Amino acid sequence: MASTYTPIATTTVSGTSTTTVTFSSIPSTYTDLVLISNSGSSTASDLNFELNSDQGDKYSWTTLGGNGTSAGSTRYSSQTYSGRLNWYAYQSTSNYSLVNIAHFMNYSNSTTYKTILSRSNNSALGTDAVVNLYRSTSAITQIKLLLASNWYFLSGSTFTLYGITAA
Amino acid sequence: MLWGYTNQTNNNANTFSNTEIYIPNYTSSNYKSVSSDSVQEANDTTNNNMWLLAGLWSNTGAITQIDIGADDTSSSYNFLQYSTFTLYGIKNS
Repeated sequence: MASTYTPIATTTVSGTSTTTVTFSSIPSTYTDLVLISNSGSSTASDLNFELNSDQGDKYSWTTLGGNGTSAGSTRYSSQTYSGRLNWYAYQSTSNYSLVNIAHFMNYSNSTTYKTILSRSNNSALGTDAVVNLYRSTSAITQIKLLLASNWYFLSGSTFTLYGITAA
Repeated sequence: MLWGYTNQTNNNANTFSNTEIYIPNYTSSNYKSVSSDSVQEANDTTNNNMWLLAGLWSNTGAITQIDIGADDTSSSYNFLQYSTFTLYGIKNS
């Protein structure tokens, strides 16, 4: 049976020292990428991403989210170091309760800026829909997930990268 | 667990809601987190909802069965004819 989601790579964290998770040498043969994260962190933390080792001010994002009491929207522009895949729904320190699904649209083209659509969910904290823009026309060949400061991803956190090919 | 929202029989005819649910690591020995998006658009002023849901099943057992009910699995509500439900599996290798 043909696959729609073609697995590219997966990382399952072990130990207490993993502060970043990196997918390198991403093949350019797909149309879109999908990154599925099910994770927790040593300290409650956002799930940030860096593309192609680029720490320039090329990242911006708009969020729509709610926490069961209030809902809202926020926006960040011209951010350095990384984009962000969540707002209300961040990583907790137990139970791998963050589920994040991020779509990197048309990631391998070399003519347009790159759009990333994500859904972030933590049932104890909230749920978000986030759109990121990476203002670079370079093809995405590396995705690094990172935490603030020297915190680490909880052992057992999983990160899987899939490729989707247009017909 | 609440997954989403459905159109009712007295909404516009032939109009069905759509819900997509993602359950990562469903066989793991951790609690199970769930992501759900649900939309209802019936071309009127009241049946036009969009839900973003985050769920947690606080059980370490592997998921081997999923029951979906209208409202809840013990209610007398019925799914309308032509409602469809499709389960897919995604592998990481």
